[in-house]
Amino acid sequence: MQFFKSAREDRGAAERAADAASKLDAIMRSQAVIEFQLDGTIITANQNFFNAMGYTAAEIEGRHHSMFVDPTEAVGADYKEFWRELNRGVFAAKKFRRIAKGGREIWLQASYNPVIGADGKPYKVIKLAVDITEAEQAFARSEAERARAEQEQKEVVDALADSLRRLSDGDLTARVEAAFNGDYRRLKDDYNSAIESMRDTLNAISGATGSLRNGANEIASASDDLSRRTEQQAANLEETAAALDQITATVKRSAEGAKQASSAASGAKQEAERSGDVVREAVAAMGEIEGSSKQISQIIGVIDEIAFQTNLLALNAGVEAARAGEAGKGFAVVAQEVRALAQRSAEAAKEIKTLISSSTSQVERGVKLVGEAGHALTGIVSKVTEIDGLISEIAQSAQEQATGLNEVNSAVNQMDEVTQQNAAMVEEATAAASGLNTEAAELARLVSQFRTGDAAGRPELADPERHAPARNPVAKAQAKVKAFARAGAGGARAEQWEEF
Amino acid sequence: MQENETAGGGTLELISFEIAGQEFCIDIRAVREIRGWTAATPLPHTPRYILGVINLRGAIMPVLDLRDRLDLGHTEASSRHVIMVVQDGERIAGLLVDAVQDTFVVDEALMQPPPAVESSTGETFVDAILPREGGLLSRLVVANLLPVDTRVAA
Repeated sequence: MQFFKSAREDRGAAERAADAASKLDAIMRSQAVIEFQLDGTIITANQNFFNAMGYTAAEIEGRHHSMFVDPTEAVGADYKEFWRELNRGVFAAKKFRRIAKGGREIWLQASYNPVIGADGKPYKVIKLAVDITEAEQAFARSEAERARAEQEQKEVVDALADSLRRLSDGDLTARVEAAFNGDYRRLKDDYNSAIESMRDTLNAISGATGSLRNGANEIASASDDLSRRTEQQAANLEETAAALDQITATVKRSAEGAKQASSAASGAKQEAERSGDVVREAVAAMGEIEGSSKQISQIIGVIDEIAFQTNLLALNAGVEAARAGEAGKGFAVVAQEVRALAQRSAEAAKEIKTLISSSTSQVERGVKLVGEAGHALTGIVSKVTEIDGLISEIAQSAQEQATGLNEVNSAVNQMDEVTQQNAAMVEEATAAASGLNTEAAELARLVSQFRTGDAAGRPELADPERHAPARNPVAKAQAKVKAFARAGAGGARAEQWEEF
Repeated sequence: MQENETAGGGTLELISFEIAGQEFCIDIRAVREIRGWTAATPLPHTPRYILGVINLRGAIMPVLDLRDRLDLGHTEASSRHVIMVVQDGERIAGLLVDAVQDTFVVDEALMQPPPAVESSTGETFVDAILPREGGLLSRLVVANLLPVDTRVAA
């Protein structure tokens, strides 16, 4: 009221009255107006108010303002204070929640205006209100909707946060089981689908890790096998080298033996040839002896003949002496003596003849034996020549063996190189397999941090000691083989076979 | 024999010789000479024991193979065989023997007569046997050894 008065003070009263009336009309048309006593008793209200509250004038006039207030609020201290403030003339304007007829809730944008009398004291309260129930209720609905949405969002966020926390702890079984609506449902489904997909992927990774570890184990095992075989090969190579050493020594001995045999055969040949000369000389000497014996035999024959003739002469002399009778006795004695001499000569000649005959037969036998010896010596010479040829062949064979041994030595060297390369490769492979194993174990450990609810798929943790890189097992054998290959092959080539 | 007995003295001088490993002897006074083998000229139609004839200082003399004559085989003569030239009265002949052994004197009483055995011929070839250390020595009868017709030749 003060407002109206102050605004219209400079104008004419009529004009101001008319103006005030039109303003009042405008207010009365657009706003719900109700007037109260200072104690809250309803004086009157306009049609807008009735329309808003659903009451008629009769139903509210004389009644207290509290009929429009929630009963719980009406008995509160705030409500009493509210009215005390109005009685003190304090203006109050805000949104108020009121109860319309039938308990219907209604919201009013209202101002409670204490009307100040001439005495400067309020004597009544005019309330100007606009029904904002629809907007307010819409706002309230919207607010409720927002709260509900917020709640739902919170639940979703909580559920998701819980699941995500579990997920962050590696629990891939952390599905969102709560019932979500609308878009959240899609979110949940997508989340669950994502987590399932991840779980599947991790299960697959877990399985693959198992396979990987098996593969790594197999590689490590194969590498170990290869290492052992390489070691075995190196050992075999060593044995081969040793055998080669022995063969080389044997061939060398054979060559030396062949050389000695050759010189011995040459000596034997010379001896045999010299013996042949001796035999020829012996044969000649025997021939001379034979000739002498024949001459002696002839002489003996002459002597024997002479003795024979002498004997005959003596016999004739004896016969003559016997015929002469007594006169021939002395002659007979002489004849007898001559006969005795002739007979002794004959006997001596006979003995010599026997001896010469025996000597001749012995000489003949000697000649025969010496001839046989000469024949045997000729045979020996030819045999020795054959032996010499055979020994030359043996020496040739030894040379060929030496050539072959050189080739074998070079092959052993190549094998040695290959074995060394293999050994190096095996070492690398073992190290790689070990690294692979460690990586696979690490992968398994990482994968095992995830709980997928699939116990069978969990990869076991690897024992790092089990697949330690193999120590280089062939290095020692290699060193031996290398030492032999250098000493044996080079030495054999350079020194041992020059003489061939 | 008759001559031996007439000579008397109680001793005999004999000459021994060998034929086919056997020793025989004859009276040394029947021997004219002893000589080495000389090839004889064969005579046709003569007994086999007559080897032929030889020239003895101008006289043609038959040579007998005494071995054959004694029916002991046939002698293959060589330079070492000996011909004993013997004489029986007018007859003279050469006896081929293997070898002449010895001349010796023996007591006549030691001579023993041969046993009376049947002979293939009518004549006696051995008239006495002298036992000696080495065996029995048969004395041959020179007159019976010589062929009958040699008398004419001589």
